Amino acid sequence: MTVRVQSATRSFGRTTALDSVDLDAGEGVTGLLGPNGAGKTTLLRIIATVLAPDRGTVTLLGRDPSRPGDRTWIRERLGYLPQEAGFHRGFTVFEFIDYVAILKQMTDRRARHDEVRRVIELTGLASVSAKRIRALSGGMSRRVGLAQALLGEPDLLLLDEPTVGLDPEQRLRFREMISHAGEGRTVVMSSHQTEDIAALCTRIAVFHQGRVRFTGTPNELTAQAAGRVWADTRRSPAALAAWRTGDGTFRNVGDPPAGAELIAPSLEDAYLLLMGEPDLEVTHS
Amino acid sequence: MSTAILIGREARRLARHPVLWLVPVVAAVTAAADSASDGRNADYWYGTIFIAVAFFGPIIVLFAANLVASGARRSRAEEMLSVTPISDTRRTWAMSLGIALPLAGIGAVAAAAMAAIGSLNDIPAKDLMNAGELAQLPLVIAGAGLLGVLAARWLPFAGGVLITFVVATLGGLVAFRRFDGGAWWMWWTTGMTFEGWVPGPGRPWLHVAYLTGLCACAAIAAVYRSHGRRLVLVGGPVLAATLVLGGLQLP
Repeated sequence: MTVRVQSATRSFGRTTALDSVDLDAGEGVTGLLGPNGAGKTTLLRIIATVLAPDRGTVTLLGRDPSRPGDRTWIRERLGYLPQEAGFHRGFTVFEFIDYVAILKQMTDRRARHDEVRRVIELTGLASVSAKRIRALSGGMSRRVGLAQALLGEPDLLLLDEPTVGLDPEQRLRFREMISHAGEGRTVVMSSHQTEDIAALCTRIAVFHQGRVRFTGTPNELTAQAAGRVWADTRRSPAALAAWRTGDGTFRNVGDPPAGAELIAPSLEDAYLLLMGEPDLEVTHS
Repeated sequence: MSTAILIGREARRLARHPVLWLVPVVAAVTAAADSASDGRNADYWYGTIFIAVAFFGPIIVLFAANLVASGARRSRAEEMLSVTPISDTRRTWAMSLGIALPLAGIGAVAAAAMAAIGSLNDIPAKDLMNAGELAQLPLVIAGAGLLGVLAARWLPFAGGVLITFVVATLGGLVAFRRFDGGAWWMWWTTGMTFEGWVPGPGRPWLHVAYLTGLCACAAIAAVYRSHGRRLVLVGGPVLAATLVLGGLQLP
């Protein structure tokens, strides 16, 4: 396993952001799903070596990030896009990514510039590489964040809410890039967008109030909702959640009444059920 | 190697910072406004260079260096940059040197220009600075830059550098009133005189050593901001030596 987190707990003052969390992530894209404040970002920051857990152990790429030497070794193989990725706004796109490349100890000028051009090309930023970052749209800035994370083809790529604030076309493009990045390496991404998780992740962990409520594949989570989603002409009082769909019928999620017209559940339905049932905790191997 | 490249990048960031470019603008405007009653002669240019480098320069440099050093925090890029293999300590060393070295270079060029003007023209001896006094110019302007970095590290909030400026100025005025100082003194210029006290030979070089100590103190305090033990072990002896050098200059 590239990432192994065992019983990690982290508090900020009186708030317990993570409560005895376990997580394993190997090759492919692992998604952290959960509402705001569920602990996803705290866990990603721990895996990114920004924070240390108060209790518990973390092993990344087989090394212990609490040891300074190991931490540097891990950081040489790590790409990280934080939730709030800011940039030196006076830099051009090329200059900023080149600056991060220097911090990643790419000392050979020609090789470094080739690598910067590669990630700029990969993230579709070639046409704006000479533009100042302050002149870019939110979506373009997010791509700059992804480009710097992809520098040096890291073994471990951590993306915190990579698609937040993007329009549908940009989100699809991002999915394509992340999917490509997940081939042959470990990607851990957080999101509260179930569509992104369903589209990209081979494995997911659902967080709620600092605890992991589910680990397994997206299909396994979706299967949790089998027989608990039904269509009706009205909003059912028995439903945990219900909404009118495009065809005018109501999609109800919860415990169906007898004779209900059951329909195939989605990952979103299963997620809603999991969040609506606080005692349920499911872990798949 | 990457530290050397980073030093270059930080120097470039400072050179491109618009606030720094206020130095030549302010110098040009004040020079233009000066009536120069004896004409724009060698004496006039000698004084103009000195005022730009030792008076306007350090104040503006303090703010420009602070804005460069606090750029990552202000633009919320700190977290992204902190997970790279280059440690915070190395990044701050690079930042400090990238800011101090080019500024010291500018100070050295200005001092050389003043020395050249002084040697080629007929300037009254009382107006000429000796070698030791000229050697203080690079340290004054580099020191202002390092103070900007120090403020960015220790007061990481908007207004931190302004507090630094006000405290340094008021603190300097209060401290030096105690020593029956000369008519005029400010922390950002090259030195001070005391009434009825003539500095002996070598005193300007003592002040050079003192300013070097202050620069070292600022750099060490900035670099080891989050390493308390190293800050005490490395910074303690340097601070003690600097205080001794400062004390030796008092009448």
